Amino acid sequence: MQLMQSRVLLRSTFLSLFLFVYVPLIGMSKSSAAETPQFRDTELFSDNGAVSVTWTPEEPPKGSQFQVKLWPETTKEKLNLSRVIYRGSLPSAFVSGLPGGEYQLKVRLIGDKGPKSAWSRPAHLTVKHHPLSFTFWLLGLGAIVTIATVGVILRGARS
Amino acid sequence: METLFQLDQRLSFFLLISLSVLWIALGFFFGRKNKNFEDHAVAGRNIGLALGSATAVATWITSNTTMLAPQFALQLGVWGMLAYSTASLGLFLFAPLADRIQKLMPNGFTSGDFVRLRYGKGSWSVYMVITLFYSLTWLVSMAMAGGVLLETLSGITYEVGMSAILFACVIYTMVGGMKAVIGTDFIQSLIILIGITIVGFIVLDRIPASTIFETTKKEAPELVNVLFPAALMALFNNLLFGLGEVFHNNVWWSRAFSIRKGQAKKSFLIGGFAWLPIPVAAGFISLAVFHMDLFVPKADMVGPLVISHLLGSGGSILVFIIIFCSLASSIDSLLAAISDLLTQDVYRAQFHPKADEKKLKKVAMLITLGLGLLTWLVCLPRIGTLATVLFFAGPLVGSLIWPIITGLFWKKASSTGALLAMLLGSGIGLWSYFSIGWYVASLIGAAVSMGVVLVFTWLKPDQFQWKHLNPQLGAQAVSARRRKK
Repeated sequence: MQLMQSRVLLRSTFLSLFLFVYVPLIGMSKSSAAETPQFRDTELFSDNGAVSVTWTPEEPPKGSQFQVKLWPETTKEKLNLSRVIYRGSLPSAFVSGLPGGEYQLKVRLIGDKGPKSAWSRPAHLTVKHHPLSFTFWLLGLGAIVTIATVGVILRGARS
Repeated sequence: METLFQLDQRLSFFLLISLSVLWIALGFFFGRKNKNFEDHAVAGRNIGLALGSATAVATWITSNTTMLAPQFALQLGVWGMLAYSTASLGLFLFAPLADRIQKLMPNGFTSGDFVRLRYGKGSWSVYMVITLFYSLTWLVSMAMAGGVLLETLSGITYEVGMSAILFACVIYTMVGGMKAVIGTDFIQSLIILIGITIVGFIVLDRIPASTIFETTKKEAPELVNVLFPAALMALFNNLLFGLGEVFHNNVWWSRAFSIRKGQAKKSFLIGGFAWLPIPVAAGFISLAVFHMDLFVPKADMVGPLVISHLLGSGGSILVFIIIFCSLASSIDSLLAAISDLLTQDVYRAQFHPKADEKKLKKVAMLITLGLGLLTWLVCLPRIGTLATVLFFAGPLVGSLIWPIITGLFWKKASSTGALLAMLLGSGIGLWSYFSIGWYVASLIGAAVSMGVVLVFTWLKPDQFQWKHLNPQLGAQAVSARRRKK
């Protein structure tokens, strides 16, 4: 009875180890898991639809690259709606032209044969464009200053 | 995929050394007949139409035009591209100003001369702080950009690339003065114009405009949105930033003094037309990034990234040469303009009014050398980014537009008004830079400054005598007034 109990204990220990250690690595390559990169800033804001993101470590391990994906938060990270915005060896990415809304970004390491680390903790990006009323107010101000400036020069030059 | 096609290091060093030797040799050649300060600072006031136009184009094509214009397009889309090209209005509108400057100040040397004689020492002091801050940040950012870009393109280390560009520019500017600056500008502007045109045609040939539009619309929809708020705001902001830069800075005033009488207006108009398509072409290139499946690690790398991927190693050689030329044409102009400003406005006007022309030339050369050393020391630790530092100066130069233009055309423009316009325009402009964004700061600075100038011209008008702007006539008039008393 005691032997059976210890066998069950041993099996369940192996099973737990398997679940804890192997399952998080499913989806990664056969090579050993590398340190997961993490964003330097996880709360980002943009009022022009463009944002720069940076992360650590500064350099990927040999044979790896960084990969960053972005998706609108409302879609709950569905693969078909997420988009890779960066793949390379520098620790920064730039994305622009985003419409207003909430987004999430994640970064990981990849190699030739697939992922080499788990995805990082997500960074949250809020894109909130300036209101059009404010934009048109500034456009009007710009037009007045420009027309007045041109007027002073042309009138002065003529006289 | 972010890597550029790096040039072979041997080839890169060959290009770097060849171009440096070429500019230094040309500097010695163009400056061989310089005898006094007038030859050195304003090229004997004898620059013709062709050289005058070329120097306007070359100086305005900075590494910002070739690097920041693509960044603008990537960040602010089609409106951003157009916003950058509005800087050509600076050259168009400086054409009548240059004509007026030549008439009012036939013996003038610097923009500082004008502000001091027109508005007095108070306004001059504020002006000097603003213009030196702007010019030095521009100079430092150009030298730093040179080091960074050469490292990215060729693997030559930042320190070596930055030092080489700076060394070549300091030597030929020091030896040849304004004649060397303008002479090399002519050759550099031809190389840049031909290079950018070739790249633009190749991009259009390989990727049709409609394809670029469709992929941009899909990947970054705001960039082709007609009602993109930040881009619309940047439109007038960039225009006014450009006007402020050109109207106030001695880089442009020294050209107005150097060009032969009657040729300045035409030179700046031709220069404006030649410059106009450059940022549009450079900006358009960057939108191809979405079609080419390229990933951008930093916004200011997009131009070289696209060109080197489209044209391979040949493209990298072209980019290397274009960048070297655009950097050199701006660094030499800034070195000359700042050195003349310090020689004429500080050394001569404040401390040694009786210094002879040969002595002044020697002082100008030493200041150029010192300025080069200072820039090198500031650049060595590699701090700051290309765009941020320069845009910080946006509200400051925006606040100078109205004091300059009304000072040139209105007798009633007031000294107190000019001083307050500079201070309030800069202050409130800087506040808007931090509270709203860089893309409104120059506009706010210029608008506040305009309001202050108008109010003071109306409430407390001056009655300025134009003859006081001509230092020799002005001195005669002052001594005549003293004799009468």
